[in-house]
Amino acid sequence: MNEKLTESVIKSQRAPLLQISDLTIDFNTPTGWIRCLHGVGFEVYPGEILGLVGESGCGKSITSMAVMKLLDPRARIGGNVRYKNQDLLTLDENGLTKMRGRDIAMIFQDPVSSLNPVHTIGRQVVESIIYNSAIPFLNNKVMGKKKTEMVKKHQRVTVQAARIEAERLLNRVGIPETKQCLKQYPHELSGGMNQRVMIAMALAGRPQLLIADEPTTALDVTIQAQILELIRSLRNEMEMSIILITHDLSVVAETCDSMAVMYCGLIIEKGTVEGIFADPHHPYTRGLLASLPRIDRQIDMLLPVEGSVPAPHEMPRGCAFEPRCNVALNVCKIRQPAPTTESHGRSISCFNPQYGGFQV
Amino acid sequence: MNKQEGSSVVSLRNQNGLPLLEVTDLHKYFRVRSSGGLFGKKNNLKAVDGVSFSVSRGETLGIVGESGSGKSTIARLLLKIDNPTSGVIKFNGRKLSGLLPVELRKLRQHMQYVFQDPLGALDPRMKIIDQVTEPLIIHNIASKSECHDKAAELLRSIDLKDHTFYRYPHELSGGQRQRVVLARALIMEPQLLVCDEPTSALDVSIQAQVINLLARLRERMGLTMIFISHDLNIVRHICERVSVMYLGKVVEQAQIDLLFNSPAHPYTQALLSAIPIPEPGLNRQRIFLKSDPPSPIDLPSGCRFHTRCHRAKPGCAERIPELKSLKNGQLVACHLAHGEI
Ligand SMILES: Nc1ncnc2c1ncn2[C@@H]1O[C@H](COP(=O)(O)OP(=O)(O)OP(=O)(O)O)[C@@H](O)[C@H]1O
Ligand SMILES: Nc1ncnc2c1ncn2[C@@H]1O[C@H](COP(=O)(O)OP(=O)(O)OP(=O)(O)O)[C@@H](O)[C@H]1O
Ligand code: SF4
Ligand SMILES: [Mg+2]
Ligand SMILES: [Mg+2]
Repeated sequence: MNEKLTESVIKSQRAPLLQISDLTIDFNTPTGWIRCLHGVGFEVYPGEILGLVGESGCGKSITSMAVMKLLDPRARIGGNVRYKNQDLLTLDENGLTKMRGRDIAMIFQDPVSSLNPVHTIGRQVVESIIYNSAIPFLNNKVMGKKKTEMVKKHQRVTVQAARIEAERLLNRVGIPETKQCLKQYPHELSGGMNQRVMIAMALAGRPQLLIADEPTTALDVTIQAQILELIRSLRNEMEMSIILITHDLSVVAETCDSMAVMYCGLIIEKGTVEGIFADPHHPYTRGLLASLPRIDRQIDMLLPVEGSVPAPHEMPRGCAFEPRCNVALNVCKIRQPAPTTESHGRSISCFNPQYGGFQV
Repeated sequence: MNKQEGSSVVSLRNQNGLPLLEVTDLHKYFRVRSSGGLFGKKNNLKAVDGVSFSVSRGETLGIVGESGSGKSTIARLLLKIDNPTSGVIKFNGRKLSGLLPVELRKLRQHMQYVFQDPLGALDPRMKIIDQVTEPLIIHNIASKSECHDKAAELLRSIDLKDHTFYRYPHELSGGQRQRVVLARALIMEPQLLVCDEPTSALDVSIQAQVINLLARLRERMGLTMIFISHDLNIVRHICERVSVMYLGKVVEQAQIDLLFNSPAHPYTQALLSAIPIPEPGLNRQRIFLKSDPPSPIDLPSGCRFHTRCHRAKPGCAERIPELKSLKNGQLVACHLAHGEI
């Protein structure tokens, strides 16, 4: 407990590494513009693991892709994304290229389709090391086709060095036969191994912020445990901040320091993991936690959240959760609740937040 | 007992006696080419390799295990979607392999399944109510209006409102679709329901709805269930007995509480320790499995788990452990658990 206290004291004194505010995303669909993110805001502090949780389609992936400016170019993005002192949304392509990988790196939801099936693992890891290396003229994208003899020679040296670095990285992420792995193709490796390769590539630029989008969803639980352990230990070793996107609240409980719960393109509750699990205030967070079956105890009846998530084009006028909420007030139908700030960095968007008396 | 196939006796929950389903030494090998492309050697992939179990009436048996351990293959063999390489499956005391096509069709009424993908299981161009009445009409069980009433009653009983009856599958949410799939399976009043990952495509808040529904229906209809899942949290919640599989073999089988409180096989121990629990700060002792799952066409010698086992002894690579009972009735296939090493 003490440790946590000092942690939050330190946190309040430090500036956030990443600060997102009022982030909105609209997509142009055949039936017109549809808003899928309705003003999302949260901070990531140096060295912390933030869990971004929520059910399918609530906007977790698009939020993270907006940070990296990797969204479909037809999407309209509004709001602010500050990384250190830069506004990422107004950064030009050149600035973004410099930043991607080296400051912020991303692991995507599906490892197999994110790796190139026709190239060896070695080639892909080496490329990401060279691409992220601090020597700009070795970066092929910047260099173009004009390669002088000197550069070629230099590049050979660098490729050598990159190979050594690749082996070191693969070793670090727990791949046993690194030499052999470098020669293999993605389809020859298991899902867990491919995910390790993805993590190794993300680490190549020594990023300060790692965004991991469902890094373990496709894996067996035994492998998931290994990968999450790896992510935690990397954070400690490299002092990275991590945004861990997941729909699994148990993973958040065991891996993250703070969390933000999303529902229908909004963050409805955020705070420390300890705080929220001990006393969730938003009716949806309460509902989610009460609906979980768990191995460590026998539960007679799960308490599901009745109803289902509204589609983006059928969003209620008031609180997005109102149709499913069992403590809704009249005002909930009419207006949207704004996020309130409470002690210990907790914030809730609800007209009728619940306090205490929560037991699973 | 023998001439029961045609009758629609449903509530047999406490009518114990012979098990509803009995599986003995089931094998399913697939012929696959090893990596060398077109000219690669053909090998046996032992997807199910000597599995035996039985399920009594009214019981729910869970099957868990790593991806690729053979769970879905067993489901397909039970439903006779696929034929076993060898082994015997008995339903209601009768061998599936000897049945005539007519008998098999009759039998199918009593064995229904629910698979992972609710969209794939439904016809996109058919209204919900028609999807549910279709099996009745195919099997020529009742008049059209009787079918309709029966389906409507069933749909209402699983919390689908009347206005959804005339919609198409894509107009429903995932949880609603999975309920329609369930209704379609249950309208035949089956004796056995095989569920293969029935909730893994669903969101957590919806998953609980479907799980509760299954539990309720099981009580009401006296269903016997086989529940395949990689989510042990759900298995603990809904099953009475569990089989744990590893690479085509059952490595442990026990009553649910025994298995969760005193897992005897090192794989089960590692599996249970790896499951995240929604409670921060527990600081649990984890058992991390060594290396990677081995290739299913090049299985390890001796105990198939020895390459990853945290407790393996040299002898484990030599002899194959048998699935045998411990004093408390728990079945385990491990030399160490039986004090053989
Ligand atoms: N290119 C696009 N065009 C139109 N809508 C989109 C596009 N990309 C995403 N969306 C919509 O934005 C919403 C949020 O999608 P997102 O992928 O962020 O969900 P998610 O929370 O990551 O879900 P999951 O857990 O299933 O990965 C969804 O309703 C989705 O349909
Ligand atoms: N038709 C087939 N031809 C060849 N191999 C097959 C076939 N069907 C299944 N297999 C193989 O048999 C093994 C068992 O597969 P199965 O689908 O039963 O696993 P599972 O336990 O259901 O896994 P999951 O948890 O991923 O669903 C796997 O190695 C799989 O690749
Ligand atoms: S704002 Fe109202 S409807 Fe929304 S969660 Fe809170 S109480 Fe429920
Ligand atoms: Mg996503
Ligand atoms: Mg399967």
